[in-house]
Amino acid sequence: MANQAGGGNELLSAQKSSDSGLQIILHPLPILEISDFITRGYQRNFKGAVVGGLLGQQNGREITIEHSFSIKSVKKEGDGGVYELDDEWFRQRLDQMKLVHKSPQLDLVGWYALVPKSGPTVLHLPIHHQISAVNESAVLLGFHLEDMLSPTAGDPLPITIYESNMEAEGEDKEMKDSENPTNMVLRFRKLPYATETGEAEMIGMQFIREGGANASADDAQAETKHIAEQFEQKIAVTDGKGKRRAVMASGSASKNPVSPSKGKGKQKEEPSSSPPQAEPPNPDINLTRSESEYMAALQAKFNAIKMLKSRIALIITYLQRLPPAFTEGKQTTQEASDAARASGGQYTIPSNSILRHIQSLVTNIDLVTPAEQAALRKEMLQETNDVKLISLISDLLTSVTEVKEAGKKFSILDSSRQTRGQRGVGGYVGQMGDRSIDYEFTGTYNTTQLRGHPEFGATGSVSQEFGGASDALYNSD
Amino acid sequence: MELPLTDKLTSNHLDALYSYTHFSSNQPASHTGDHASKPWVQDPQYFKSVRISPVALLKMVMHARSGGSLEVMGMMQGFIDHSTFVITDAFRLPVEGTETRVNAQGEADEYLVQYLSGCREESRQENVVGWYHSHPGYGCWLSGIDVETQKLQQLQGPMVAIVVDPDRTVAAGKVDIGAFRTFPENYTGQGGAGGGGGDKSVPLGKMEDFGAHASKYYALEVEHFKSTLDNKLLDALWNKYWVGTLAGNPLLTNRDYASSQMKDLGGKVREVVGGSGRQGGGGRLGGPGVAMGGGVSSSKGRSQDLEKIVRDVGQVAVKERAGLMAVEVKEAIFGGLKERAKAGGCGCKQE
Repeated sequence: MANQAGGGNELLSAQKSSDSGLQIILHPLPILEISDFITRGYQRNFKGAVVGGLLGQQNGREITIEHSFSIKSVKKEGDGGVYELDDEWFRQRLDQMKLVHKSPQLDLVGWYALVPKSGPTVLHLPIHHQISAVNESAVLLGFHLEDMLSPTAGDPLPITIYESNMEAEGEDKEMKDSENPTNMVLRFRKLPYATETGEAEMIGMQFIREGGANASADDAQAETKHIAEQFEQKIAVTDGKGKRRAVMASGSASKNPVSPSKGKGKQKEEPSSSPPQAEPPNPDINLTRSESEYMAALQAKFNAIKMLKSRIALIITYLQRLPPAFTEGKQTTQEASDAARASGGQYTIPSNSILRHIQSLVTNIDLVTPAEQAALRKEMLQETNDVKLISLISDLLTSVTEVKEAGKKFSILDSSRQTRGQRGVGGYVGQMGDRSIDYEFTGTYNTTQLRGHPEFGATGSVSQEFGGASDALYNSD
Repeated sequence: MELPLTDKLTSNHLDALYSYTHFSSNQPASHTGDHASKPWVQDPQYFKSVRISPVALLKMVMHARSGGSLEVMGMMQGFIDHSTFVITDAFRLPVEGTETRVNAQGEADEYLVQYLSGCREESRQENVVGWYHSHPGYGCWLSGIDVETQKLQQLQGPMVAIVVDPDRTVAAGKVDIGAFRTFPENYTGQGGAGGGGGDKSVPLGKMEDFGAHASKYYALEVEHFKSTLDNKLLDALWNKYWVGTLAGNPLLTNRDYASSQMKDLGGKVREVVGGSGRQGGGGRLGGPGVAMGGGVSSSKGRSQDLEKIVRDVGQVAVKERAGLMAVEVKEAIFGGLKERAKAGGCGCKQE
C-alpha cells in the first residue's frame, strides 16, 4: 500500500501508480518541440503559459505520442489568473493537425505543460478539463524544469506522464453510508512510459546531435568543422578512460571488434589518430570523407558497447554487494533489506523483483545464440562475401578510372609526339635524346605491345599511373 | 504553467537564433518595402546557406518518411540573417504527389492562410521563408515542376526550396537533404552543380528531368543548430537509444536500397562503357595529324560520369562495410555466450 502522493500534493492519487493498463510510447519529436518552445519563450520574453497538444495513436491500451503543437492560451481575469486554452483557436488548429496527419491518422491524446516535480496543481485543472472534453483519457505530459536546472545523475528525461481518473474521495476510509454519496474528484497518477524511435527519427536525431553546432548568430562554419568537432568530443571521451580505439585500416573488415573490456592490452593505434586531449590540431582532418563516416559508425558502436558494459558492471556490483548473510540464505529478504539500509550504503538492498529480473536475464542469454549454428555461419559467410564483392567492385572501378586517365594522357602525348615527329625530320631524335626515360610496366595490361615501339617515350608520370593502378588491383583482396 | 524566472536554461549568446527581434531589426526589411532594391534581387546567388532548427528538421524528415513513396510537401517559417536562411519551424500541407501538379499551392492556399493567421495569434512572428518537399528514393534536386514552383515563390520574397529524400536517409543513415534557389530567366552564372546533391547521383529514370533543369538553380549549404536545452535533452535521450545501435543489423535493413543502387550503377556503367568503347577506338585511329580536341572534350564528359559512378560505388561499399562491422560486433559480443558461460564457470548461484 505504498503511498505515491508526493509532498502533500492533493491532486496526486493516493493509489499506487501501476497497472492501469495504459502503455505510453513516447517519440522524441514532442520532447524537442517543448524544448524549442521553452528556449524560444525565454529568448522572446514570452509571458504566457507553455502549453500544447499531443498527437498520437490510441490502439487499445497502447498510446503513442508522436507529434505536438503549441496552443494559444489566455489568462482568465480574476479566478487567481488561471490559464485556459483559447477554445476556438484550439479547435481550428486541432482540425488542421488532423487533416495533415492522415497516414497514420493521429488524434489528440493529451497535452503538455510545465509541471513542478511534485505533480500537477490546481492551475492545470481547467485546461485539463478542456482537453478531456475532446479525449476522455487524455494524458498530461509534465515537463519538469527543475530537473534541468539541477540535473540528477544518469540524465533521466525530465518528463512525467500523468493519467487522470475520477476517484472517490477518501477511498481509504470505511464504506460510507448512502446518505453521504462519495465525491468523485479528479486525481492524477503517474504512468510509466517507454521511448521509441523510428529509423528516420533516429537518423534525424543523430544528425542534430552530432557536431557542436549551436545557435549562436555568428556561427557560419563549414561542414568540415562538424566532423572534426564530433571527433574531438568523442575521442576525448575515449581518452578519459585511458583506452584507445582499435582503429581499422580502411577497407578491411575488422578482425578485432571486441569490446574494449576484453581488449585492454591489445589496442592497435593508427599513427594518424592518436590524439591526447590537449592537442589543438585535429589529426582526424586528414581522413577522407568515407573514412570519417566509417569512424563515426565505429564510434557509435563503441559508445553503445561502453554503455552496455557499464550497465552490466552495475548489475554485477549490485550482486556482489548484497549482504553476505542474505546470499548465504540465512536471512529473509525483508530482514536483509532492513539491515542493508541500516548499514548505510555498504551493502546493497536486496529486492526480490530485481533478483528475479537478473535471473531471467541470465536464463535468457541462452536464447540469444540461435540454434542453427551451421545455417547462421553460412549466412554470415554469404553476407561477408557480398560486402567484400562490393568493395572489390569499388576498387576495380577506381583502378579502371586511373587506367583511363593514364591512357588518355598517354594518347595525348603520343599524338603530339607524332605530329612533332612529322614536322621536324631530323630534330626528332635530338628532342628525344634527353628524355629517354626507362619505363617499366608492372601491370598486365595490353600496353606491353607498345614497349617495342621505336618512337615510344613516355613521361615518368604515365608509367607511374599504370603502376599505381595495377598495384591497387593486386592489393585488393 | 509559465516559464520560471531563471537564466540557466538558455544562453543569450548560444541560443541567439531563437530570438526574433534580434534579427528583424537587422533584416533589410525583407518582407516589406521596395522589392527591386533587395540584395537578393541584385545578386541571384546572394544567399549562401541554410540553418535548420531541430524541430523543423525532424518534422520534415518524419513527414517525408510518412509519405512512403508519395511526395509530400510543406512550408517553412523563419527569418533571414544576412545571407543565411534560418528555419525555425516547418509544417505540413494537405497536398500529396506534388510532382504531377503545376501549381501545388492552389489547393493548400486556404490551409496556409488559416494556419498562418493562427500562428500570428499565438505570437509566432516568423514569416514563411520557403517550402519543402520529398523525393522518395531519387535524390535531392529540383525537377522541372519544382523549378517553376520555386520561381513563383521567389517572386513573393526571399524563399528557399528544400528537398528531402527519406529513403536515402534511412539507407545511408544520414539525413539526405538539399536546399536550392532558382536563378531568374536568362541568368548565365555558374551553378547547376546544385543538382544531384553532390554525392548521390540521380537514378537513370530521372536523369532527363534532372539534366534539363540542372542549370537553373544552385544549392545552398545546409547546417543545423540546436539550443543548449536541446543538448541536454538529447543526451538524456541517447541513454535510451544505445540498445538499438547494438541490436540493429544495418545490412538487413538496407538490403533493398543497396541492391537497387547497385543495379542502377550497373546500368550506368554499361552506358559509360558503351560510349567510351567508341571513344577509345576513335582516339587511337585518329593519331597522327588529327586534332585531339574533339576526342578529349567528350571523353572528359565520360570520365566525369565514370568518376561519379566510382564515387557512388565507393559510398555503397563503405556503407556495406559498416554494416558488416555491426554484424561482426554483434557476433563477437553475443555469439557463443552459452559456451563461454559454461567454460568460464561464472558460478552464479541459483536464486
